[in-house]
Amino acid sequence: MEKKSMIGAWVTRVYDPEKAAGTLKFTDDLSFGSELLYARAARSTIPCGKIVNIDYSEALKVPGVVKVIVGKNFPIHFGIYLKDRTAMAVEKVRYIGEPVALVVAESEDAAEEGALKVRVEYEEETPVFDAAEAMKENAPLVHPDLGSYEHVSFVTPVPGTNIAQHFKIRRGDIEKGFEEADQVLEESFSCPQIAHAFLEPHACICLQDPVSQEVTIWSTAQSAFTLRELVAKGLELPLHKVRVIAPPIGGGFGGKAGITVEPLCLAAALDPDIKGRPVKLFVPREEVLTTSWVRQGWNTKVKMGVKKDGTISAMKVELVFDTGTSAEYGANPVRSAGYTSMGCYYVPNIWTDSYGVYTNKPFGGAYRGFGLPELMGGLEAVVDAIAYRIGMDPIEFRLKNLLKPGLPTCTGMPMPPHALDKIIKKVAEKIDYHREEPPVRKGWKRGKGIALAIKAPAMPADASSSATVEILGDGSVKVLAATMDMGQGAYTAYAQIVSEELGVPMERVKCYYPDTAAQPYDWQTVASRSLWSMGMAIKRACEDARSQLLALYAEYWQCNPEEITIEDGIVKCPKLGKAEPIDEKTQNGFKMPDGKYKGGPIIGRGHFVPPDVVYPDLETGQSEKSVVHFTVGAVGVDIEVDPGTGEIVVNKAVAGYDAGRVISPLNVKCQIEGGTVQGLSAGMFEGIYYDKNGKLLTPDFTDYKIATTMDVPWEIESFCEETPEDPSPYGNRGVGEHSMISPAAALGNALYKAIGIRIHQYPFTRERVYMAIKAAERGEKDFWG
Amino acid sequence: MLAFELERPRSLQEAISILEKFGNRAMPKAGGTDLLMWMKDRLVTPEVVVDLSLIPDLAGVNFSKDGLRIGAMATCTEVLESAAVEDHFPALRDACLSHSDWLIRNRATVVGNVCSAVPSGDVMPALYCYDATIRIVGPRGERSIPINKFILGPRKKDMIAGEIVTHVFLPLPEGKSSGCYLKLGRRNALDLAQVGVACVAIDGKNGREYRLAYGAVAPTPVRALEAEKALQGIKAPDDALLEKVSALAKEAVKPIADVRAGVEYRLAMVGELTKRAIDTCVERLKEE
Repeated sequence: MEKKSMIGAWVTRVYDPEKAAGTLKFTDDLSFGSELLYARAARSTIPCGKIVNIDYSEALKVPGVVKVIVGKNFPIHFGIYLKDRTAMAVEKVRYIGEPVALVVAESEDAAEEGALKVRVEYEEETPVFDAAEAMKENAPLVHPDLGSYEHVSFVTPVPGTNIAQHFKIRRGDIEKGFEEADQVLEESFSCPQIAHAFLEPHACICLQDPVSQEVTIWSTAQSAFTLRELVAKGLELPLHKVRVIAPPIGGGFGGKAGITVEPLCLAAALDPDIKGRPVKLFVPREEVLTTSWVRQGWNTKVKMGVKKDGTISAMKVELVFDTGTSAEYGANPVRSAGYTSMGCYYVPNIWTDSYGVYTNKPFGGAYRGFGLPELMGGLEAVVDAIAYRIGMDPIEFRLKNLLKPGLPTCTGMPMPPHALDKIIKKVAEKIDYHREEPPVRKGWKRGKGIALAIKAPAMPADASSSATVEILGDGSVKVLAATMDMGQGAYTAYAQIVSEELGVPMERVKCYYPDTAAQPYDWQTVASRSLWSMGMAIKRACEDARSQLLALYAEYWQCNPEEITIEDGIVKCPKLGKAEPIDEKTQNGFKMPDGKYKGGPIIGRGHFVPPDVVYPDLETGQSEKSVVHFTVGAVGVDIEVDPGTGEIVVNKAVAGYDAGRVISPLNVKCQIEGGTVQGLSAGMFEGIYYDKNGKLLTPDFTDYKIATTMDVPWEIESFCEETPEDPSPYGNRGVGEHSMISPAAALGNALYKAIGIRIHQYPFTRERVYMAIKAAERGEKDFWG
Repeated sequence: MLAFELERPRSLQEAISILEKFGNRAMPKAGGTDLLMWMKDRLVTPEVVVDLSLIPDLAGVNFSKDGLRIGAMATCTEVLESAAVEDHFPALRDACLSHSDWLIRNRATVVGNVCSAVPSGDVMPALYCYDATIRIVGPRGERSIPINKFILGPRKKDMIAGEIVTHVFLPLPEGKSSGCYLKLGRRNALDLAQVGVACVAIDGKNGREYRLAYGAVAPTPVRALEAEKALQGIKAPDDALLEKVSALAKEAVKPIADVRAGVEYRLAMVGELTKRAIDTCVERLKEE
């Protein structure tokens, strides 16, 4: 009987019982004894201005307050792509809520009370809140020193402006492309900033040893090693003197990638008067949006040339991302959207400008999909709108212009193999797209819509992974792979790989949460890269461990390694009739026929770096291989709208992606369902709003609304196609983020079908939909309010 | 949250004396689902929090031939699970069911929702329709006050230091009745009302009588008395009358624009939900 493969097996997720029982320890659960100090930020009350004076004398009088630290005590710029951010405002504040001082105390209450007593005197300056305004000449500059900030080579800020990042695509002849068109149409869509809304707010504890100067950080971090690197660079410490321990995190979605709230805590832990005592910074929910990043607001404008037969001849794309006060991480989603700005279509002549623009608001950065929900939220609405305007079926229009395998993307890279055409047809069939059905609810309006998704891992060309696999003395296996399993199920999939490769039961494989002092390097848990990149490293580590074990057994049993198998933890040589469970010999050494011991603990090593990515040219965006791979997919929704209130109910959502190979079907299904709900939630409810002075109106869940179980679709159907990827551990490619990319656009397209008016501004709240219906009744075709 | 002292009196008298002693530095707590949030946001900063949960007199939901008594510690869940509430005060049941979610309803109290006195308080429009009275004890003894006199404005109520609301009382409608509460929020659970409409219809001595009350569209809940008058005696209002009634209802309210909704939408929804609420009540009376 053929052995059942663990690749593609439906298995139980690891770590779920501990999570359900509440015994798994998160960062905030850790105990540090009475040595622990607590930090709390005092925050700016104005959106823009110079700090004239900070008076914290009253804060120091609060019993328990140990010290107050201000920005100029810790002026280090930290950051991953563009170092425009300090832990606290130094000289100048740039948004309401920016930390201006840090109160450190013996208790959390004292720190909070102290923070309330810090008084700051400002000289107010003119703020700018709107990205379009901020791009204008003579707009007030959020970062007058932009030209002096350090940044990576593939990020291109424009000093002397508010443009933190400008990514360009110049492919073909754009003018000629428009001349060849029979129709040239323009459309635009926009969306406010939104929030990750992870269950666990940020927390970290930092400690510096006064003698060795070594720094230890316990943090709610997605990416222990990148955090280590950025801290080490900022503090000018060697890597081995920074240790990052990342306990399990309660959701990340990009909001805990790179370096987030840690510098604020380090400002206290490194203070000469505090050094040696651990300092804890817990960021309350109400302060999350002003301490770490949100998803950038965006405006997508597309001018499209289309021929009579529906072929796209040219596309001019302008993407404006409102990155708030920092583009430290946010510069890269701007780039990611830019080099994918063709969407899922072949566009022979394309001109794209993707801008990240500073404004005096909390800052934007990584969020599930990383530039692509932003791009496709616009582009898939544009494509749909244009299909209707030229009188073509939206699905036919998409299929006609599909970026088929081998055709060049906007960077010139040939599109790798995929099954998107099949996926589109399947999704359309599953929601019965072409059949107009009466509404289920009396008096409501029904509509169906579809949108396509595409995304490549957005990461530096040399983002690497490594892992070790140690076969323990009883045949169980210890896997060190510094991915953060934040709910996506990485450790379950890794256990499946190890079980498959080593022939041990999955229940006997254990993956540990990241600790840079114990585990080998991995860049970050982002970009849907883990099961691909770390998957390669783990598979190679397994191969290494297995060949070590087989070589020892071959000598021990006096046979060839090829004659030995491992099944269910039993090492067998059918030829010799031998079979035994893996035992202490793998740890202590094998006593060979010559009487001598050989071996010792078996540790397999594996590493991986993408071999051939070339950064796009800074002027044209062209590159023979701009990204490692693309994952494509489509989502369709069948919805109904209550015309009396604007309420939307999603009857059914269908989502399909080309995963290459599904390793962990349960996790893939969960990811698709979760991302679909998250995307629909963003489309229906989510937006971060400010008053006219830049004060946040939606700091917590009272007014920042995400979908509850009462708001999710009645039915979600997911499926995967499997066109293999190469290189890849099993043909699999990233699929974690993709389900978040296009549900909102599909919803908008279905809404248009239902109510006959195109809404150009996300989210589609009940109020906005109601107002649009009223406008439609007046005969309007577009709603911008 | 800033530090505070917690007092847990076991009798009304003890609670009153603590509250009187500390004056406006103390605040009573029933479910605490509003109070603790407000403390966290520093909207209120009591030095002493007086937990009422151990006082036996404040517990329970009791029904008699005169009406319904809801004790200060009765949770939304207790109220909505009461058979008497389902039979005689369906608008209140709807209101409790629309409040937050199951977890919070297991803790939040109906009286607490009244005492918070926020314009969007879900249970209040129903209590306005049922002519509820608020029963208070304090250093100067007991008093009783109609709910619309008790609520003075956003987070303002007619109470002095040392006073405690012991219960609300809802007289039994005089005649066969039906009722409903329709809530519009931004999503289907765990939200504050953008507009809340309670409607009660009673077949009394003088024929069919309607009561309409609104939440989240004025500084306090409001009754639409003119709209009620226009409906008086009519068992099957037609579309024209419903249009007129919803126009009158819009005149009775005075919504503001905030991050939750704009004025135009709130007014439109007052109109829409008024029609739906009346329809529902008329249908529910037919069914019985």
